[in-house]
Amino acid sequence: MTAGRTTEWISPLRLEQMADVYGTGHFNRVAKRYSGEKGLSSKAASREALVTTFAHPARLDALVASLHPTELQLLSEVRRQGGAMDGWALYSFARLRGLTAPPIKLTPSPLNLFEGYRGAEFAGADLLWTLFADGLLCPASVPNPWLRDAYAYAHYRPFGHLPPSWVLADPRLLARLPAVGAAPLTMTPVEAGTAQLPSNTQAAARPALHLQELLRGLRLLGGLGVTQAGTYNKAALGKLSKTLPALQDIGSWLTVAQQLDLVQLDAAGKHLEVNAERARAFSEAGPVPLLGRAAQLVGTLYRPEDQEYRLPQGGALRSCLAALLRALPSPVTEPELLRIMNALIPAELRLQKYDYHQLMSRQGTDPQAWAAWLAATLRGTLTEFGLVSVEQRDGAAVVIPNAALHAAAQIQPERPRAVPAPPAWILQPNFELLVYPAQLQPQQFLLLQAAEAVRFDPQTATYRLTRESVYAALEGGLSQEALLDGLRAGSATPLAASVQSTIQDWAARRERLTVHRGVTLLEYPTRAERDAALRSGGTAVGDTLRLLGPEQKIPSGVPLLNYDQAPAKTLKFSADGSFTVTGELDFLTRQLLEGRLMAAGKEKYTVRPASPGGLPSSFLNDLEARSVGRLPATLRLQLGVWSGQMPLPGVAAVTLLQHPQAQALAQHPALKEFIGPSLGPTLFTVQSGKAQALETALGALGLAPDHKIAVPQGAASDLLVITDTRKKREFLEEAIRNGHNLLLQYNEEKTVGSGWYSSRITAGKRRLDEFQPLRIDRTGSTPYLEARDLKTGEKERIRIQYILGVAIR
Amino acid sequence: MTDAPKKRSPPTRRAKAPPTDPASLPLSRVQTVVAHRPLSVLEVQDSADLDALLLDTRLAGQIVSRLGPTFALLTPGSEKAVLEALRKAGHLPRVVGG
Repeated sequence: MTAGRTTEWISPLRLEQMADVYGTGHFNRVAKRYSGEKGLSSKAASREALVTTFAHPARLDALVASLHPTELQLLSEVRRQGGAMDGWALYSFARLRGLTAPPIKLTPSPLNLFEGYRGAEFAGADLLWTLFADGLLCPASVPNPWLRDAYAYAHYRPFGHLPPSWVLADPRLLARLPAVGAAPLTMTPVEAGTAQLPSNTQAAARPALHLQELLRGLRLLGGLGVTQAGTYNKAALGKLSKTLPALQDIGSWLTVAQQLDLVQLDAAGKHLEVNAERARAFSEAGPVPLLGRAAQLVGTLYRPEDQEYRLPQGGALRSCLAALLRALPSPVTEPELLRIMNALIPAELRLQKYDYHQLMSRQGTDPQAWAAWLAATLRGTLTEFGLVSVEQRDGAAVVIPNAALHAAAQIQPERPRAVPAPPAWILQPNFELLVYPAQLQPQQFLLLQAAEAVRFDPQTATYRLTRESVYAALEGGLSQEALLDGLRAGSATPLAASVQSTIQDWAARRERLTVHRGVTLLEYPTRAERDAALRSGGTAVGDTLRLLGPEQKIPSGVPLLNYDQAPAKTLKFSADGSFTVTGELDFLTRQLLEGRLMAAGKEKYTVRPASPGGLPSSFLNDLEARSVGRLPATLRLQLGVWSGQMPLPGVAAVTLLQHPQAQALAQHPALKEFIGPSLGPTLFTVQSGKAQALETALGALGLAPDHKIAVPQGAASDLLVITDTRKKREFLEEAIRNGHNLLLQYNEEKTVGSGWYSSRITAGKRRLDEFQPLRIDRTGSTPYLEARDLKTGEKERIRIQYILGVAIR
Repeated sequence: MTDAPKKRSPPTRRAKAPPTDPASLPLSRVQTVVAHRPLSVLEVQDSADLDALLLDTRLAGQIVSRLGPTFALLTPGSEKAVLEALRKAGHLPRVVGG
């Protein structure tokens, strides 16, 4: 009484290991159904009973013999799909065949499923949850659409790699089922004639080209940033859209690529990158296998139509629609499809989400939205994924299900044609390719990675060969010869000489410059020794270095210095900026200092002054990483300037205008044209060359100036006032990095009670002290400065918003 | 009584000028063969290309030193910036390894 054919199971379910998901009462019930034993009242006893049952095929056969016809039909369908499938597809399978839910013994108290859930109450939900109750099916996620939350709190995803709406059966039970065909349909549509189904390659070409273009763009930009909430970074998405003008609705294609594992998050979870291995497999397999995956995915995605028509159950509706189209023997008109879907799907799933924004102008929900969603989905997602074609016949839209709607396992790559394939594109002398997706051979998809898509039309696609796109393809491993041969072979027109020579020129330009990443350099004491070693391979670099090829290994016995680790601290700097060497210098340090040192005494050295930007930009950090302690402040400034990270100091003669009410003078119509930038409320600069004119203008106002400037008195006179908290925080962070002490004028925080149980924080007493800033931290989103008071040595936590003035000390 | 004539102290030696000979700087080479890894190196076919690249401020800041006429050592972790700078400058660099 076993199945006639062997099946490759995709179900990882082992029922006896699911005790935690089911809960004690439910697990005991499952064990009783499987083993036929009575009196099971603990998880341990139930697990034992299940282990015994699965070890004895006769017991499983007894269970199979006791199955209700509906249970047998549903389990047989799950077996046909490999042991796991979308629950909505299974639901549709049962409803289309008029199957009735198996009777189930209910206790007077509500049934306790999965520790506190009950079966859902919409029409047909019991077709699935009754099988959950007896463990014949197991959901991939709890809760799920077929359960109703009673007082439940448990959430499980025992099979995280499967979408939440999927269901599984234990393969050991499925293997004992008799061979049972699917029951006949009870909901039969009026047929709309026959139609020639498009080939799998033809149907898959469109989504495959879209995905390939997306991967090309992601490779070009080096990935896509994601926010902490896991959404796509808007700026990065905009840049990607600009890079890929032919691709509409990039966000939803990204979601598809993510579901197909073609793109994945990096280790830090901040960047979406192309999964090179999967992308290669996708390219090599051709577009056909994509169809099966797309057919399985339609129910798990949130598509643009769902958003447009505000249907929160769009995924479930699409799964049911795909299951229905798969079951139909022939094309069907759109109104007929709508009629069957109305009968198949409970009204609860077709409800539109309430739109409170439109409450004032019109109704919050539109009863016709469901029909509009169906029309849009047929022409949108299902057509884009190559699952259906929609044709106009005698004024009515006819929906033609493609072969792709059948399960992935049943989609076979098409055999190569015995006759020569028709041309896949027309290559024009202006580097444009007019591509006919229906005529693309699998290997030609790979070739189109060397071109950028300009436009996707229903029957054609336009691509353009550019320097960047050809370069990216060559970097991806495509050879110049393979590219030219492929372009020539697929084209209806001969390859123009100008196109060929330009591609050859682009390829040649790529050979002029090479960036070797993560290579090994062997350093020899003398040139003669290096030259002798070159006989065993590698490239000579300079006098004493040998660059090893990617496949070459370091000779045994040769010590290895690893530069992935922090460098040894072999430099010790004095306050005057000179340093001594305290240990052996590694290769990078020697190269860093080569030609950039001056002797400054016995075994003391200084860095030779360089022009601004004359040193590597990371010179300061690299040197500091190799030195004991921090570099002296002046040397840091010098190195910052020489490495182009800091501006040069400015020295210039300026004329100043000083007055307690200088602001009033600066705004006077007769004076303001002479006034330059402000240095404070009482001090303004005078524009270069305008000093005499300003004096004349002041004299005309009866304010002939004297030529004395009063030096500001008081510790707080040079305080810099920054009103913006973010800029203040950046200033403080820079001071921490540079090791500066600060004079701070700030308000202490004061807690003010404002009721029985609440209080608020306001600005308190004003203080002026010198601090050593230590770090910036936050309470919620409010930034604070942690600093050490230089007088008392105590740590203070100062709210950055309450810092009134700051000066470097 | 006349004071004994003071002993004339020997003339003070003038301090030696700081050595400027590169050989005296602490940059001596290795005594036995040593492997260094992982490093990033820029290679050009024509040394004139490297001369021109070293004058490009976007790129020069990422180069530690010139190892030979056609090789330059890149600062660790700068590969992405170097590739971007090269591509912006109109070059099509080949990337090997990493």
